Amino acid sequence: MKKCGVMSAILLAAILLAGCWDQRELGEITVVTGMAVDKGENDKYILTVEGINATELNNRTASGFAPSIVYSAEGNSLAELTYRVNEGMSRHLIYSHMRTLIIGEELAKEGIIDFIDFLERNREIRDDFNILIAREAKGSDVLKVTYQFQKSTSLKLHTQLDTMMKDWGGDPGVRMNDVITAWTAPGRQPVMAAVRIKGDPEAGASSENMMKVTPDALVVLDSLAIFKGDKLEGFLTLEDSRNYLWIQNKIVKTSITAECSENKYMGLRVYDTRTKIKGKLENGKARIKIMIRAEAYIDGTHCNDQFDKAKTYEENGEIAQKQINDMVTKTIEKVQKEYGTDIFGFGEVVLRQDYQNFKKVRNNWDEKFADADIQVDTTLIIRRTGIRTKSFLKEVK
Amino acid sequence: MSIIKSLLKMRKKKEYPVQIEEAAVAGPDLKSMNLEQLKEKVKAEFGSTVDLSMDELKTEGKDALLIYLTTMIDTKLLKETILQSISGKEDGFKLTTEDDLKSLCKGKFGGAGYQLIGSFDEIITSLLYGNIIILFKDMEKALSLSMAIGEDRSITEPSTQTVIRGPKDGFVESINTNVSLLRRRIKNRNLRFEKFIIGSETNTFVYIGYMEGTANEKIVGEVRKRLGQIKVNAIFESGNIEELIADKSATPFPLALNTERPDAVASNLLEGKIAILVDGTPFVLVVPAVLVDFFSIAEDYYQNFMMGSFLRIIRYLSFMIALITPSLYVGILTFHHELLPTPLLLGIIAQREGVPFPAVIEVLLMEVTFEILREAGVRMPRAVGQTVSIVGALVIGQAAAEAGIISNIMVIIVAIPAIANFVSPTYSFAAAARLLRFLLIIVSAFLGLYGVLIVLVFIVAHLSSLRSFGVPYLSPVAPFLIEQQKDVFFRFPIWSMRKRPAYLKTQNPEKFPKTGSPSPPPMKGDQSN
Amino acid sequence: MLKENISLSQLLTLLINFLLGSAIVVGVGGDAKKDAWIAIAASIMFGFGIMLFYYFLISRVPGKNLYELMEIGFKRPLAIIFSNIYSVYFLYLASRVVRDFGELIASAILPSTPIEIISLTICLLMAYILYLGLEVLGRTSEIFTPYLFGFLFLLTILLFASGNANLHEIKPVLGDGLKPVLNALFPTLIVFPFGELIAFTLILPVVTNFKYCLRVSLLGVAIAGALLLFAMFLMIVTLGADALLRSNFPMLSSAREVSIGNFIERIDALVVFIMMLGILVKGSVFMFAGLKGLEYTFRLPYRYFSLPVAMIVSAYSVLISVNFGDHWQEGLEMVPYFLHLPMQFGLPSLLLIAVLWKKRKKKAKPGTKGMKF
Repeated sequence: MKKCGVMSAILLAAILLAGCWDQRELGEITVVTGMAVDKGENDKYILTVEGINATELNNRTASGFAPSIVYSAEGNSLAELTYRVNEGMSRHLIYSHMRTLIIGEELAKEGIIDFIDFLERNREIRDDFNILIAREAKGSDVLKVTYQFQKSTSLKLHTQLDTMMKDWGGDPGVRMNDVITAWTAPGRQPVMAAVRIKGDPEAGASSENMMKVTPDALVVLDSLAIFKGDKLEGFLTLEDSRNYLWIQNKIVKTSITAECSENKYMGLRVYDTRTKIKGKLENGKARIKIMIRAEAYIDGTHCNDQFDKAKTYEENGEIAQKQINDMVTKTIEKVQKEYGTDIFGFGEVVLRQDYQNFKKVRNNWDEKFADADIQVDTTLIIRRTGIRTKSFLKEVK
Repeated sequence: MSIIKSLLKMRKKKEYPVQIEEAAVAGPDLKSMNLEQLKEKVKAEFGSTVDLSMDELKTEGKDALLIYLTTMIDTKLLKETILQSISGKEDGFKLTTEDDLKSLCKGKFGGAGYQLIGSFDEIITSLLYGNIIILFKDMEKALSLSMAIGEDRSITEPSTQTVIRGPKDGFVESINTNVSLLRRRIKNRNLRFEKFIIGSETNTFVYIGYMEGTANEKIVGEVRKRLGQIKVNAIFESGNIEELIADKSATPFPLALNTERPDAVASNLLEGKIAILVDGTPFVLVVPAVLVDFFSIAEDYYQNFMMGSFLRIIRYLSFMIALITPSLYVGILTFHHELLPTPLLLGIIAQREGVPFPAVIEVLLMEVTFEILREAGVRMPRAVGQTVSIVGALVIGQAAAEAGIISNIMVIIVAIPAIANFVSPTYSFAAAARLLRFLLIIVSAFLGLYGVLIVLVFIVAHLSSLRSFGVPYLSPVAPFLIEQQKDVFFRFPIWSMRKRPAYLKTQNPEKFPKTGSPSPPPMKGDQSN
Repeated sequence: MLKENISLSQLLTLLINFLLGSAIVVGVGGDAKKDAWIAIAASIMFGFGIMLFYYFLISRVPGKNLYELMEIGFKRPLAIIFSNIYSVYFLYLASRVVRDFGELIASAILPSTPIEIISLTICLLMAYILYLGLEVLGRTSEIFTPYLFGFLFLLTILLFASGNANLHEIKPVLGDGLKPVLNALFPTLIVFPFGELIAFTLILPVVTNFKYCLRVSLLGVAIAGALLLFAMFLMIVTLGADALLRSNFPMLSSAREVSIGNFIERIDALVVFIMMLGILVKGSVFMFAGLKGLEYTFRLPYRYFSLPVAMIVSAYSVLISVNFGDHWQEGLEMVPYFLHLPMQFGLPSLLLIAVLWKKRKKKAKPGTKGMKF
């Protein structure tokens, strides 16, 4: 028995000491927070990664050097490139904290489906990073622009998009798995947020950019990129992007402006909204009914309305209601006419609610979508008006 | 086949002989020797020890010899009682037969705990226990009178298990005082103490105490049997006993509860457990002990049951913290970076920038340093205590972090489990966490959290295989006993805890009749009554 | 040989962990896509039936396990042959379970650690537990079961709180009719995990309080089935049917979705560790069943075999298949038909008939010596 013990101890020690296979010391790694894929010049892709210089991100240890390092490598498969970038970077790259994937417009137009498989299959990369299109720019350039607070673009964008979505709703909140679901599930086409560089990309790629009050370059959320299959079809405005979210029932809070009388506007803060969609196929024509229910408070008004009567609330509510109805309808019509691609997932709704009929049109749903009969029905209730009921505008001498 | 055979041999149950040995072996008779011879013989036994006193005296018209060890007896008492009542007086009484001796003793020392002994070896033993011996000429029996020195440390607050609310007295080194502390708490005729003399050279008194009619006879019998089988030469502390009677010695977990608190022992006795008191130490053992006992303290029952439950959960939690924090640190930081939120990971990386050691070395370094400091803190002379703590805290902690040998977060990672470890009410159980912590750290350096979990399951399997006097160590959790859950993770109100632990299979499973919770008197206008 | 006993609550937790074990890791009933949960719900009914069948078989002769029953039914020489076949079957299943787990660890958390190490460590652990005995296995599972429940509860909360669970994903219910459900049900879902309860024919006889054994076993099947159902439901609503089908380890994939306040993220590694407990119990139960066969054959306490057999299981868990695809295919296409069906239903039915016949014969001729019931 003693022999057995000694032998097993030796065996165990040998196995364990040969081990530490997956061990990565913190000193040996660089955390990648952002990744950009562009069309390659010779090969299929150019992969750009942004590795964080953690010392610079920490206020106590920062000393003013560049907050991150951005490096590109060219090749045919992302799976290989993620390790090839070490040709220029010293440490192991850790992709588990990747927050942002930026795809160059040029590549998006040609199709992106090929490399997404790698992102889904890889165990390290999380499934829920932001996936963005760089409008009129290269993805790699977007990654290089520095920023005052989070310093690195990818972290900045991650926070920015999140904040935007919660406060106003310009970011469609699309993560990688949403894109994949849109591709695989019938009756939906993917969308992505699109960003643009405002200013000079060259000047943005230095740490001086962070030190200015008005940075030379800034990455701004620009629009909503819509896809047909895996190919970029076009861009919708930020307003449309918000309306898209509204249809998706993803609005947390938003603000709208409604015309209360001629050339006079009021601002409403919408804080609680639900959207329900009903869809069915009637005689081969799709009928979609969108019901939006919202609650809001008046955040500012140019008009002289006195909010001490229930009636005033109702009147203003109706104005806002109509405004929302128009906005949403316009967005849907635009997509129907110009692109004919069902980014709203109405097909999914029909699939759930009228499966037997949907099965017949499954393969040409986008056509059905283009001439679908869509009806938007909004109910908006104004609950309160800030900390004033009457406006001082009436009292002004 | 030979392997299997050897395995078979190994597994063969050790057969314990059941015979109980005679405590004293009869030596040569006193009758065969005269006083002179006896005197010589005693002298030969003790050799040239300074504290042997042998005085010749004449009493009741007879030559006698008074023998005692000066260091073991109360000389003042000796002078007061013995010398006054024995020596010199002649009142016509003749001491010739054994009956005369008996009646003499009855008259003079009745109630003082005298004993008539007939063998030489008994004389020696009695001397060693602090008795005086009076040998009479031509008598077959000698008179032995207990006069053991009464000087003890006074009863003070226990230094290891302090409470905020609760009795402040603790056991002392004298076994009789300890028994009296228990007796005073349980004024019950069923409280029994049995005496054992263990240690072939030290002849230490060991008492077992239990409630007759409550404690499981089988367990009491098992305790008696195991104590009877001890064959070592020396017992100095209950820790010796604990190790000698444990069901399994290859385990870091204590299989007997030790405590300095009489109230804790008393309440355990009433639950149906058995106390083992050892002369010369304030630590009393309570068996059988289950894991839960090491997390509950007497104070739980003295304060509000909600607070008691909360503190108990804190204790379980801190045991886990003490056990796994450093290994989680190593595992997550070197294997599972994805588990950390990005800002935290970046923060730690920034801090660790420039630290030359791998995380596991860093942790081991700090853990060992801390253990050294802790040991130094216990052993060092009180006077330099301040210095060491300053050196420990400032130099080791801060300076090492400043010098970039370790990261700042490391100090936290070492400090938290260290503090958490002190929460454990029983030192010996906390020690298990201290040991296993190192095992966990090393394994997690090789296999990450997977390794940590493997070891944790290993520990749990080990715990479930342990038994303390036949009682599964993890009861009442596994095997699960629903009734006993009232006193495991939570402490239910006292009126609801009516049952004694079922795992002890006590003779009297109920503590008191059902009463229900106390309620206010009915209100004046209350119609329902 | 030492008489072992496990309590009813231990039996219950063993059953739950056993049934969840690898089923929750690899996901079951995927053939039915969105309606997988319906298939599971239906399979619970069959689970009851299977449990009843095994209980009926075992309770014919109280206190005798499967192998000892075989001796009664077929005489010892034949029983030895059968029990050896069963031992191999159970050990093979144990290897499969360990391999499932090895693949999970290797693809999810420790990609470059050799799978040999994973299976070696977990098999050593099983060997240790079984060396300590069935009681220790029972207690260990008893201790960890609350964590299993807690984890599932927590995961549910987290998934719903982070907005990843979309209840409408399960619609349309039965869109393609009953056919996919039936496809998933026969035979895959019936033989795995419920048919594997055959291993409990070695455990049921040592349960104290045999009277309530049936009730507790059925309760165990019900709870485990409900948990499986719930887990499947959870996976469907978080991943959607498509991603569910694409995932090798759906539970892991759904846990990856959790993201709350940028703080609780990527808890998949933690999920793996919880799954390990189920695997541990399942593997140990299979190994125990195999060891019992050896005990029966060699008339030696099974504990002596635990370490060598665990090492064999560890080795075979690596050797049984070349790659994941091989392992997968073998498990879905070969094992259910060629192993599960005959071993779970064929042989036991035969045995039941033999035992009933012997009993009748004995009743007809009282006083014949031989079988001791």
